[in-house]
Amino acid sequence: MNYFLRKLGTSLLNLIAVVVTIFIVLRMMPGDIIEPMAREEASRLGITYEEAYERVADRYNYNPQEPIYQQLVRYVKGLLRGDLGTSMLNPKNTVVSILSVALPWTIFVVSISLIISFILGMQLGALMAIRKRGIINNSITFYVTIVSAIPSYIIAIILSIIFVYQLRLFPKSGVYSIDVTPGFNMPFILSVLHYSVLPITTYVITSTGGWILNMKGSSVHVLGSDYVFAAQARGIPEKIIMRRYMKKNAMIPMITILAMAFGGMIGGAPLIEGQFQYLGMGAYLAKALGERDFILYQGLLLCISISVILANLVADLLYSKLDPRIRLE
Amino acid sequence: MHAIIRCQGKGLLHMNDDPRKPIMSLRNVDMYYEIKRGLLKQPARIGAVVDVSLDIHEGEVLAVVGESGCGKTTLGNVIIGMLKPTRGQILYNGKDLSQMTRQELKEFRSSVQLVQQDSYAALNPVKTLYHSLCGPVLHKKLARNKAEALKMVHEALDMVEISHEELDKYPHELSGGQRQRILMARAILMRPKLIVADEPVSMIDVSLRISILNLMAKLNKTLNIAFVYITHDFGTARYIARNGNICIMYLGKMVEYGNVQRVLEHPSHPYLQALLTAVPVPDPEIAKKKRNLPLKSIEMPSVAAPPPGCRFHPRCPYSVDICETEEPVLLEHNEGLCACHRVKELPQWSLRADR
Repeated sequence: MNYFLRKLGTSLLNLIAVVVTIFIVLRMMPGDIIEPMAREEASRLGITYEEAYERVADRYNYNPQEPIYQQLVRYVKGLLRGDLGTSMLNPKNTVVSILSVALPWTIFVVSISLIISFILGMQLGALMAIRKRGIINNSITFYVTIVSAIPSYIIAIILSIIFVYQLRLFPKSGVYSIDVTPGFNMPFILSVLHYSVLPITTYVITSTGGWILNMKGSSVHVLGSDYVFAAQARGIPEKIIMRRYMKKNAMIPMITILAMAFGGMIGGAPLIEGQFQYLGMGAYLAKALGERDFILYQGLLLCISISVILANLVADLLYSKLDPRIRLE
Repeated sequence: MHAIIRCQGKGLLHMNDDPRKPIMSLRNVDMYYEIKRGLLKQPARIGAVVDVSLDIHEGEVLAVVGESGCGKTTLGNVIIGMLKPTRGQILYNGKDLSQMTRQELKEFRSSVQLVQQDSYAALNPVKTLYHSLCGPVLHKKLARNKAEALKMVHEALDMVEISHEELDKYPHELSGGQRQRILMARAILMRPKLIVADEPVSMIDVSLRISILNLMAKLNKTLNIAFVYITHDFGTARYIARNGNICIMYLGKMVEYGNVQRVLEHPSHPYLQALLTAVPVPDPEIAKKKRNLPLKSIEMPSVAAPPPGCRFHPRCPYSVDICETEEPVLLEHNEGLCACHRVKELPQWSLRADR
C-alpha cells in the first residue's frame, strides 16, 4: 500500500511537471495568435480592438499579454474545472469534446493492434529462441530487418495504394460509413471493423518486429539460465519447459513493456492515422500542429502525457505483481 | 578402490576385484565444442573432455578436481546426459544412453540428478519453493496427489533440515546455504541413484560449507546415493570423498585417479604435486615434508590448441623429450592410475603425518 502511494505521488509530480513544461514551451513559440482573431472580431462586431481582444482571450481562456505566471494560473484553474479551452480554428468545439471523439477511436485501434502484435511477437519470438537455426529463424530475421528499415508511413502508403486505390477493398478515409447509425448494431460494428482494418494492419506490421526481437532476447536469456538446465536434466519434457518455464518467465518484462507501449501509442501515429484519415488522436495532432491550433495541440499533448504517466504507473505495479523479486520493500 | 578402467589399447585393467557392477560408466568419452571463427576459417575444436573413462559404483563418492577450464563441469554435464559426447559411450546400468528408449531415458533422468553451483540461478525466481519442489514430484507421477506430494516434500525437507514453513517463500528470500539445501531436497525427491554436485559449496560462506558437506555425506550414507563431487578445492574433496575416489583433470584429460586419501598423501603426477604445493597446510609436520615444485610456466595453455605430447609438458619441471611428442596413457601406479611417462622415476612424495 505504501509502495502504491509512493508510486502515485511520483506520478502526480510527473503530471505537474508535464503540465508546466507543455504550457511554457508552447508559450515560448513566436507570434500572438489572438491578435489576428481580435482584429477580425473587432471589424465584424464593430467594437474596439481592446474589447475584442479581451473577448477572444476569454473565449480561448488564454491571454498572451498577461505575464506568463498569470497565464499559467488561468490555465491551471481551467484544468481543475475540466476546461481545456476551445479549438482556435473551430470555436464551436471545445478541446474536451474533440478528445472525447478522437480518443476512443485511437484506443480502439491501438489496443487491437497491440494485442495482435503482442501475441504474434510472443509466439514467434519464443519460436526463434528455441530454433536457433533454420528457415523459420532466417525468414523472421529477414522480415524484421526489412520492416524496421521502412518507416511506418511508407507501409501505410503502400497498403493504401494496393487495397484502397487498386483493389478498392477498403474505404479511403473516416472511421465508419455514413450509411450506418452509430450504436450497438451489427452494421455499425462491421463498418467500424471494416474501416479500421488498414490502420491496424499497418500498426501490426510495423510493431511486431520489435516484439519478436524483445521476446527472443528475453527467451534466450531464460533458456540459458540454470533452472531451465536443471529442469531439462530432470527430464521435464521440452513442451512443458517452453510453456511453464521459458514463456512465463520471459514474458514478465514483456508485459510491462506492453503497458508502456500502450501509453506511448495513445498519441497515435500522426502519419499513419493521417494517411488513412482515421480521425483519432494522431490525425488531430497532425491537424492541430499544421494549422497552428495551439490550444487543441496543448490539450492533445496533455492527454497523451497523462496516458504515458498512467501506463508507467500500471507497468510499475504490474511488474511488482508478476515478479516476486520486485516485491515492495 | 573399486574402479575398472579401460586404458587406450590396453584392455580392461582390473584395479580391484569388485563384484559390484558400476551404475554409471564412461567409456573413452570425448566432448569437443566447435567454435565458429568466421565464414572461411575452420571452426576451432575445443576438447573440454578428452578420452575419459571411469566407473561410478552404487553409493560411491567420486571427487573430480581440476583448475577452472579443465572440463570438470563439462564432464558433469556429460554424466547427467545433458551433453551428447562427440565420441565414446555412457552406460547407465550397462545400457548405452544413446540407445535408450523414451521410457528408459525418463527413468535415467530421474535416477541421475544435478545440483548446481549457483543455487540462486538454479531455482525458478518467480515460483515459490512449494512449486519448485512439488512440481517435479507431481509431474513425474512419484505421488498420486497433492497431499502425498506435500508429504514427500516434507520428508525431504526434514532430511535436509529445512523447516516446513520455508515452503511458501521465494528463492531470493532464503540464504545461500538454505537454497543449496533446497537443491539437495529437489534432487533427492527424484529418488536418484547418483547426484552430480557441481561445486555445490563454492558460493557458500566458508562457515556453512561443512554443514552442506555433512548433508551430502548423510545422504550418501542413509539413502545410498552415489555422488560425483566436482570441485577445485582439495580440502572439501578429501572431506566428502573420505573413502571414495578422486579424479584429477588437466586440460580435459584425466591425469590421476585413485583413492582420495592415498592419492593426496602420495601424489604421483607432477601436476597434482604442483597443485598441492599451492595449498597451505596447517599441519607443520606435513608442511615440512612438502616440497616446492617450480613450474616452468604459470599460464595454462589454451584448450583450443593443447600442447602436443603430454599436455602438461610446457609447465612440467620434469619434462623430457618423450613428453613433448608422445601422449602418456593412464597406467596403473601405486594402486591408482597416473598418466605420466616418468612417474616411476620421479621422487616419491609422502604427505602423511607420521603420528
